Amino acid sequence: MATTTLDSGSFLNGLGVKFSRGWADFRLGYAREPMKYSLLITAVIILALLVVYPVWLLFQFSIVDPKGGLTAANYIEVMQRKDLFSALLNTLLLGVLVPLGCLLLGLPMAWMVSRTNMPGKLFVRAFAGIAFVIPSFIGTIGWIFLMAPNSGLINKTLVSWFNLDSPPLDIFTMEGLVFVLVMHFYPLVLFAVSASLDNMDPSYEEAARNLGAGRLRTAMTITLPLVTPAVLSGAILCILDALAAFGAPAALGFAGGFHVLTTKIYTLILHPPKFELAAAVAVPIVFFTAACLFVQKWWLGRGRYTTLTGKAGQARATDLGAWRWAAFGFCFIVITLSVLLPMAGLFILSLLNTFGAPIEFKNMVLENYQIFFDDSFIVLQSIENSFILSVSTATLCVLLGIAYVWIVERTEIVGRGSVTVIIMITFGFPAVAMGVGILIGYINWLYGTLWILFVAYMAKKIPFAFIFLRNAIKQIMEELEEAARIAGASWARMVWDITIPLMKTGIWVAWVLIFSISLRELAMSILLAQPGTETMAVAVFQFLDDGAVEHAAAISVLIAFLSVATVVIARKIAGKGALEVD
Amino acid sequence: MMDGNSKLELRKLAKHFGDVRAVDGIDLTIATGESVVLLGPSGCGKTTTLRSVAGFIQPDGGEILLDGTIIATETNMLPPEKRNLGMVFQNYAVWPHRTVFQNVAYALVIQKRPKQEINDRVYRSLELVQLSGLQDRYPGELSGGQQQRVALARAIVAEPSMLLLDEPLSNLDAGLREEMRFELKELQERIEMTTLYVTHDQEEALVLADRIVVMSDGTIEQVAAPTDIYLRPATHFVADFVGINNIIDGRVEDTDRARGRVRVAQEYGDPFWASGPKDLVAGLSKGAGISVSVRPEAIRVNGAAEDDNPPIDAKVKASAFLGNRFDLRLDIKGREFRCQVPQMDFGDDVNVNINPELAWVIA
Repeated sequence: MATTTLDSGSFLNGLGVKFSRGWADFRLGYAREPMKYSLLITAVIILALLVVYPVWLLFQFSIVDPKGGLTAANYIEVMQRKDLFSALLNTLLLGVLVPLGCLLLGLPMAWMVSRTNMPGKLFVRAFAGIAFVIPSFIGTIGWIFLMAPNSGLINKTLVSWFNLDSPPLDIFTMEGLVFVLVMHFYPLVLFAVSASLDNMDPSYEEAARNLGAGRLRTAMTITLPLVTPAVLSGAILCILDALAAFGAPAALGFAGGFHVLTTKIYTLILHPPKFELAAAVAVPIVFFTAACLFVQKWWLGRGRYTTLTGKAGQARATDLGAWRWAAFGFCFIVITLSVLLPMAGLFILSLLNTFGAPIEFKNMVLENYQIFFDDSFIVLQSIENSFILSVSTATLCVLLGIAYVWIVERTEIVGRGSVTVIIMITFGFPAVAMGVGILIGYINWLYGTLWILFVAYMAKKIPFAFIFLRNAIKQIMEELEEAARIAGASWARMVWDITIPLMKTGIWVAWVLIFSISLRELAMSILLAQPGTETMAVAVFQFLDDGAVEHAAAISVLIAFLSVATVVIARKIAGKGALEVD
Repeated sequence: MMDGNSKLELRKLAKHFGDVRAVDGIDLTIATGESVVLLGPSGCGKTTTLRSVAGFIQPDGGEILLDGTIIATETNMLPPEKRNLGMVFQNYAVWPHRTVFQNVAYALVIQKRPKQEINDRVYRSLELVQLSGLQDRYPGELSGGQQQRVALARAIVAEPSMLLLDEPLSNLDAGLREEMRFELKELQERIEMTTLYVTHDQEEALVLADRIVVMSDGTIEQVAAPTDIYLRPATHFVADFVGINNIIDGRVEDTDRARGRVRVAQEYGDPFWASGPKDLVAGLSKGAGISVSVRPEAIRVNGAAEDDNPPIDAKVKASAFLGNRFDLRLDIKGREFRCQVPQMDFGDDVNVNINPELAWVIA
């Protein structure tokens, strides 16, 4: 057996010993409990196939030329082609403006909701949640109804009220895109910061007030700096989501004649597909994502931000006096713009016989919903596909998630940290890029089937299972499991009798959430779907592309409803705290 | 060599975590029906030893034998579920999603015992720990003390070969802890269960143990009955760790091999006689340096003059009234000595002498 006392102790030597010991431990473990180790190994192999393989292919394709040699030509072409370059600029613009907008809205709202006596806090929190939960491309359709240059309702109203020459607002622009994305992502900042504020020790603020600082000054100079980590987290999430956004840019950009990187990737995959170029566009996004996550980890690791003192809870709310109504007014305007208006627009649109017709009862029909039941449309099939995919994805993600969480939290297997890293990689990976990787990797075997969509969904949703289940298992004391072993239970029996029942809530929440986000998945589905394997989101897009906005609206209403319903169910199962994700 | 009556045997048991030798080659034998306590400070290896016996840790060296059979070595290990042991964890680990009955019955359910037998044995077990009537409650509805009894009932229901307890009383509040100490000891004797406890609480060890194993830094300092551990510590560590001690370092002036006594020259007063282990005393040469364990009880204040040990001048620095006694801090030549007296009918200047029976020579 290798000794553990090494005099020379060079780093590589130490690593080598560590791994040979690890391998020896592993073989011992396998001999003792073959079932446990087989299950875990299978899970890891699946992870490699789902994640490592496509990601590796993506990188490989970006640096390979048609003859198979290494080249930087793809990247050079990305830089040189005007359309790609302008897409890059647009993406960068999104990456800056959207987070800014989200901070401008989210920070004041978080403060108002968390630290003041503004009325209607529950209303604001609930509807901000709805704004986030409804996919961005669905909200976009609502906005198209309202702000399309000629037939948009708001435009027509403004033109007739103010006797304007031309419609003042055009949603099919970069400005429109930024607006829509900010309206969708500001809850990220709101929830991250308000969670931090909720837990903050109120005595910091009280000390400032005591010394004579006014309410606003206290908020700006004391409160805000104390929640910097949350602000940073929220902002970074906004940046990443803005860069990876596909639905809204596609809905607005194709019609408006502009591109961002994600929509460019999509067009590059259309016939004839230029995989190498698409990969070369996708890889920088991936690196940038990784860099952002790295910066966040490093920055947050540095400072001293402990404000969680356990004396949290009923902090004295700042009294805004008469201003509290103004605060509510502000929040209400944001809620209206982010939820009420677009959803109303969407709903009305779904009932109109034609987009642009005046809104009178004679023009309201249920016809658009009939496509749900009409076989000649793809809608019914797409709903079926969506449900099949979502149920299977949720179920299998949860099962695999338990295995991965077990490896990371309950074993000493050497190298288990890499499981966490791989899983978190897919979390940050833009969906469109993952779609390209999966397409390249599995096109030969799974082309045209639901399976290739299944693989893509799994790859991207596993992190959700991992995060929720990890939280769940961390709350289970290992002694509870050990007590079962001592009483005579084998490893598998213990997991079945003790671990899984105690993780029940986490398991259900994870399942419902993954089901929900799978239902509305767009970016990968659009890349991978073929006639017969469309999902609901793909159906919406096809209708949009064909100009049948009203039909698209009808399906969107269904998706919006399902999105909200599943989150309500998840909350009911979980109780309040369980949905917070680090 | 196999001792027919031994329940547990540790032979050169070793475990390291990285560079730290948590358990550094220890030997120990526990007889059937015996109650043994592993006592020591944090990090001494007692919990690692216990968990190795339980089967949650695989040794890096040495062997563990249960009922004469090898159950663990560095290359082979019998998993916990096959060892027929019972274990009570520090925070009880009663399953919150199962009733008291289901908790206690678990081991029997796994063994697929007939329903009537399970019922009988569970009820008997609950009776033994005085929890009859609570079998349908959930752990969340029980107090800490009650949960601990559930854990105990659960551990003994399957009549295990041996019972392991990891700091069983440390999560209870003080009053309950004292009460439970006696109950545990009584239960253990009644069902004649071989038990291995781990604790850092010396009083607990003194009450619970037939033999105490004092450990530090992965090694065994001394294995002996409680009285021997207290009155006749084998090493400096044991003398210091268990109870209060005024250890005096001095030199050998004379030895009385027949009576096992040593005359110690010290800096706090005239030389005094102390007792010691016969073989240690026999090997001492004049002028050698030795340490003497002087318990508070060994110091007599203003006592009658003894021929053996002359009085030593002392000053009372502080005194605390503890109800049934006074706890004194004496100043002798600049060093603090602790002792106890039933009454304080003297002033600050006293003289003390050391009882040779109770002063014990350590190495």
